[in-house]
Amino acid sequence: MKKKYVKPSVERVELVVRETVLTFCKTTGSGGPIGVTGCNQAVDPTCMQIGT
Amino acid sequence: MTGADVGVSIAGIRIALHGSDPVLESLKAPRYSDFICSAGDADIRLSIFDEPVDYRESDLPGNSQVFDSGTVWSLYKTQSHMHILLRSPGHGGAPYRMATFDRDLTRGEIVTFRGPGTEFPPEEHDPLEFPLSEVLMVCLLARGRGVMVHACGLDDLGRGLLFPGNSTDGKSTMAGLWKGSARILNDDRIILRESEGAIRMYGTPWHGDMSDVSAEGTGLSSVYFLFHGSSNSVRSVSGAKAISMLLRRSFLPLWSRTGMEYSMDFLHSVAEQVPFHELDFVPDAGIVDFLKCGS
Repeated sequence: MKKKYVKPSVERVELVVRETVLTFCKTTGSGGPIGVTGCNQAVDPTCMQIGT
Repeated sequence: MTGADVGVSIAGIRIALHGSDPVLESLKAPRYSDFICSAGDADIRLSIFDEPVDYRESDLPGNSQVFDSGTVWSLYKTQSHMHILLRSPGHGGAPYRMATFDRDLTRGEIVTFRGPGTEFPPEEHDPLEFPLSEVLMVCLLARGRGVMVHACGLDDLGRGLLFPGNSTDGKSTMAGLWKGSARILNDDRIILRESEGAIRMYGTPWHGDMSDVSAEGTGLSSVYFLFHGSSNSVRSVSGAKAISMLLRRSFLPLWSRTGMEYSMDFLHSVAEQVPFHELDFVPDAGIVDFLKCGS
């Protein structure tokens, strides 16, 4: 016996993914072996930003 | 090349060093004693050439630079090799040492340069000098082995406590306060690795103000981010905030996309398995009792 097709109901789902941007600055003295340390905000255009 | 072999095992990663006796003499320093091992079964084998060569006659890496630290070292990659080139502003920018590795980081050699502006003090004959060995370790870890963090780590009767912090946040102070009542792994550089589904932490030879170090690892039980406070208090922190706080206090392979992806995944895994906290502390013995009593 054929089964009657039933269109599935679809609920709209919204996912909100919060973006985190970390900023790292080249520094002298306190950056450890890499010479780069995490900073709280971009203070210089040469800062590296990593989005997660 | 004649000489002797010495092995150094850091976080279970074995580095075999081949060089002359004077070069390897520096590995007899107390900070290395807990890390010396046999040179067999090494993850990477390094030959140290102690006879300086003139950098003007050497084949320096050209335009293959992939990262400039802005301080002493730069990283270069070619089709077949990776180079860490050391230049010191104090030496007039002249290159004074170069480490060359094959691309899979299993073999390498370290050459010291002579030439105009390359005078440097005898203590820099240490083949594991700052920052060369630490940068190499970050490269080795980035290949799926773990992450090195800017932290104090200690083993309190089998409870592994990690205190990440930037400079002046109190890592060495915290190590000093626990001295005698816990095994100090290191007050400044700790390596995190995953083993059999659990996170373990290991000391390194690269200490800060406090020279106590321990090569033996321990399971990681809790992470406390250090903050100076007017009283001792602890707050739980989780999710993206916890991971980003640890990322900011880690030594990351910023020049490598795959290395960064691995490092972020790894630290995510750490944050899922271990409780993270922000710790305000007063630098006296009370913080030890506070944490021992299960804050």
